[in-house]
Amino acid sequence: MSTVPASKARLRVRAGLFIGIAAFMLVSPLHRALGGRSPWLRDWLLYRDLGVGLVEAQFAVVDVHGERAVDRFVVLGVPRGRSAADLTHIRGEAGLHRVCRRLCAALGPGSELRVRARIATTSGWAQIDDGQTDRCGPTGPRPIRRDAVPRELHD
Amino acid sequence: MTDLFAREGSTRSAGLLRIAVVLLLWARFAEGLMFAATPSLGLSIAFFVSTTCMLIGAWTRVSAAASAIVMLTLYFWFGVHAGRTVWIHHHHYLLVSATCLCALMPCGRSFSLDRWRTGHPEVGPVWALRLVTIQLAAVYLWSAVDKLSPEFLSGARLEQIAMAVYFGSDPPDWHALAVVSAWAVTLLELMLGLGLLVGRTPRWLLLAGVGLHAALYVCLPVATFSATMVALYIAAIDPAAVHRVIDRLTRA
Repeated sequence: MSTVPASKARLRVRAGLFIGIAAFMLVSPLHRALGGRSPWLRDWLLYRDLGVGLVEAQFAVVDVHGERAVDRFVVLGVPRGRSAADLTHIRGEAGLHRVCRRLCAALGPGSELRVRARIATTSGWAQIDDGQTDRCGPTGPRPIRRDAVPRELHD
Repeated sequence: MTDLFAREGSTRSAGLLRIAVVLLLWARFAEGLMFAATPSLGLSIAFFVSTTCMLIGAWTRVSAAASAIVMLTLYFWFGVHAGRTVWIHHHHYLLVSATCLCALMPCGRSFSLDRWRTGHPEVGPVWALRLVTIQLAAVYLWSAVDKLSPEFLSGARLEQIAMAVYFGSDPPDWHALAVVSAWAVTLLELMLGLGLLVGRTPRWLLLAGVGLHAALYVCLPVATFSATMVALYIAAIDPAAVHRVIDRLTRA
């Protein structure tokens, strides 16, 4: 059943290949863990940036009766679904700002819109609006968080 | 250690791996390499000829080595160097690595035209199977190391991934489940990585790994990654046990 035993030279070749390949497979991903950037070396950081930049938000209007939650799809008269991707998946501070502008326009002049929102970053969640400011009022540009922008492949 | 390089065993595990790897290569790359879509006619012809020979086990030593060279060229030259980034994701690299490791095995001694023609016994060196388990260990360990972070273990990253794939900007409140899932996945990856690294993976652990990959396969867009990982598990099972199981199955 057995084949011819391998010569010593062949065993040495196998050992050399084994050690070299095993060491490469085990150690090469270290470059990325140490902050390196090279497309020539593979890391195993799986799904690192999927979802980064997405915003979870609740919208509310304030009137004489107080604050009440509003459904952005109902206010804008847009059915939920893939055709409304910019509404179903709000991306980044800029995306949230655009949704607020549309809501303010639909609600009419003098409306007061409050938003409680957090954004997905590479280091977890970050609050971007605590509902304290009127998003229909004059608002200055909000700073873009760098860690809320998905990285390019191998960035 | 010397025993590992001299030891011989059943080649059925290697034969099964060879067939699985080629089928996965075709599933992943064939569409992008058909003549209407390929960046290089020569690459496409080399890919289909070498992998076809590898699949049926014709001149397997040569065809497996040729397939490995084609896949390395495809990944590093056309993918990394020429910027065809759709070919350089994790699951592509894993397939390239698996193809290269197949080229180091006597994978043509079982389930092959070569075996049918020559009648050689289904016995050969098994050291390269150990490299496959080390590749699996590297995937699990480095992935787990990345997960050992507050953003993952707090459940935040799983919540964000679920938002991207399912819920959009209106996720349900599943924070507790996300935290439990994050810890469970990280612990399982660590156990699989350490088990495969030291070469001791009990069946229940491999089954848990299959469950993990099955869940990932149906929940996330993982392409061929899950299927490749599970196929490579063959290398973690004693070749003699694989041989016996196939004997039993073919007798039944």
